[in-house]
Amino acid sequence: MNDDQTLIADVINRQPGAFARLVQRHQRLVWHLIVRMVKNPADADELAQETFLMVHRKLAQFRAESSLSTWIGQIAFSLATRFLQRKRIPLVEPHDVDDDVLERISDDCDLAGSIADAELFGHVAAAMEKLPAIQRTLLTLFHLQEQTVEDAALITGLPIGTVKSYLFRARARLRAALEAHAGVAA
Amino acid sequence: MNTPWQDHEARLQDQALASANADEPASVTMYRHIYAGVRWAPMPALATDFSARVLARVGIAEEAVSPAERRMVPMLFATLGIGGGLTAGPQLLGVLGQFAFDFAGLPWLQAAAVLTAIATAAAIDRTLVRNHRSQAA
Repeated sequence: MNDDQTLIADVINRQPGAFARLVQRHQRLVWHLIVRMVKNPADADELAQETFLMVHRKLAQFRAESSLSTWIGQIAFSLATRFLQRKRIPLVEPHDVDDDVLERISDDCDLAGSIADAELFGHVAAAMEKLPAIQRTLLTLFHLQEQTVEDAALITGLPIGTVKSYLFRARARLRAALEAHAGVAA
Repeated sequence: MNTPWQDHEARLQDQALASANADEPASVTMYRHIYAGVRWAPMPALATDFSARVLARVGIAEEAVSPAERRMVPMLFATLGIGGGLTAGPQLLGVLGQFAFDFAGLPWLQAAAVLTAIATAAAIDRTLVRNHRSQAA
């Protein structure tokens, strides 16, 4: 029995402290995923709680076809997606503006020479806010949560090729935004 | 979300990478900075009492279906079963006792009534549980 299976068995058998361990272990993934999607911390908090309530209700149905963290991530992503749909916020942009961005970025911009690290992080954060929700979320899953492309595809229900494409486009847009800033700063 | 120690380690790692890749093209350096930026970009912090609030809500959801309600459901099913048996049983036995099956003579109406009652009770039960959970949530 691996760690996940032991924890699941403990939660189902109502062992004291088992569900608290599960929440502690996965709350960071759920929080990062949801907050990057919905942006508003109060909404994200509510959705993160709903995620764990649903995990608690449906844990007995978990078939271990993926890791527990991927399954929990799927629930979080699905709840956040429904929330955005209710608010009529698009997950992806209706028209693809990325192609213009890809044409604009250059190969030899010395970003490091133009922007200091601390300043750069602030600009990355600001540029991330402007990305479509799905691109923000995938960047977070991949770079912050260190999920594989395969796991990110399972969580979001997207084909692996689409995940790679969104990641590429998101990074290209961040780069374009930073280049624009570096151009202004220089 | 990261500890000062983790921050420190990550910065050391970034510095080591930067010096190791001093000759890399500017475009590669840029993407490394973007990765670092995504990693260290400000993120709203998770409330410190988050897990406590989740556990409280899970407790409320579990208590929402009271023990009396849990006992009521099997009792209802048992009553329906016994009632159905008493109503349709004698006729069923009479029919079975004839050895020759007379399908037209079976108490189809009573059987359908019992099954419908059981299905309705199960549906009501599920709805009640779902409502309790959503109210608790």
